[in-house]
Amino acid sequence: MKREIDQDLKTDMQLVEEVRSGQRASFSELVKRHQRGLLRLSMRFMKDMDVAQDVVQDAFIKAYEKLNLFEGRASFKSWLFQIAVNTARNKLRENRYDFTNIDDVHLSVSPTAEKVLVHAAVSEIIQTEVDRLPFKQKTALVLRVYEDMSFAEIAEVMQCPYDTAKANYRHALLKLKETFEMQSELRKWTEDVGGFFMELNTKFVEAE
Amino acid sequence: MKKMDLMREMVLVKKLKAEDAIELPMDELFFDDLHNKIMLSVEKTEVKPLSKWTKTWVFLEQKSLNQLPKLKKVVKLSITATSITIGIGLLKFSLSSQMSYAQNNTNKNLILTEAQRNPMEWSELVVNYQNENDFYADILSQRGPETIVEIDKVMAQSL
Repeated sequence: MKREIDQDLKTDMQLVEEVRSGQRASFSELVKRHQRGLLRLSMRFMKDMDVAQDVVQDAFIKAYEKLNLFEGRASFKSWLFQIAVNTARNKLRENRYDFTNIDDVHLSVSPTAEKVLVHAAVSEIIQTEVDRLPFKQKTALVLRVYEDMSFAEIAEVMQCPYDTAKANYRHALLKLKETFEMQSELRKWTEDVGGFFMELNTKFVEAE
Repeated sequence: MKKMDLMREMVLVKKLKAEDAIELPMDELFFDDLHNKIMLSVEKTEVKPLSKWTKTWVFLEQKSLNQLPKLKKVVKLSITATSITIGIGLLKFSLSSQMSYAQNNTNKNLILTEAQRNPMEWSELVVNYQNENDFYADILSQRGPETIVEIDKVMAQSL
């Protein structure tokens, strides 16, 4: 019990040092700390729980093997995410996973169930549009929007300059914005669901 | 305008977050299993020792990755510069060939005028020469300054 509390207090870097000095058990704590985040990230790319688990497992094994290469300039999380993103990209290239095509989304439903189903379809459309983005843009968007990472951290994960990470994120948002404005279902949803934000937006326009 | 864009961006990000379809299992057992599976694989793996060249290699690899956008820009610029240079070169070449063609035509006219003036003498001369240029140059060298003045006159008239 005491040992567990001790492990909890240690930083990632301390645990890494312990693993390097031969304490394999310290890696177990690192796995516990980061497996959820890594699984969530992998799921965004792979869309399949089993495949996402494989990506997480592969990423941790690669991280363990290459632990001596981790210098601590970036955070361990960023380094781990970098390995996971590369693993996911390689897996996608190998298997060429076919995600839901936008043409497969059916919106013709009975009027009673329409309200619930339209929202589900909208969610699906959004996911499909995010999946359609080029890999780099999608990575930047996912890390920024869903993982709340800073652009500096995103640049570390994507192994690119700060400005490139920012540009990828901006391009992704721009593409999504254009798509949202073009699709009537999404426009309607924007009015219904995004009421608060739209109101905020309008107030801002008036103030300007 | 920038503030407006930021606001729109904020709204879009909120929308995306609100529609996040990814749901992770809440079951602790699931994550215990995943952890055990990972640790089982890790047990069979060894941390790779750092060789002399590994760090250098990784450093170079990262540097090249960071420099890739710059490298792409440089390649694009060099391709554009080369295309422009080739374009200008081709333009110059076509202009000079057009000019030499025009010059050739003027020379031909001069020779024809001379030939009409003294047909006999000129036909004899022509037989001895392989091409028009030699013939024309020789006439200039054999005849005195008067001929050159004459030819200049004809040239001036033709212009």
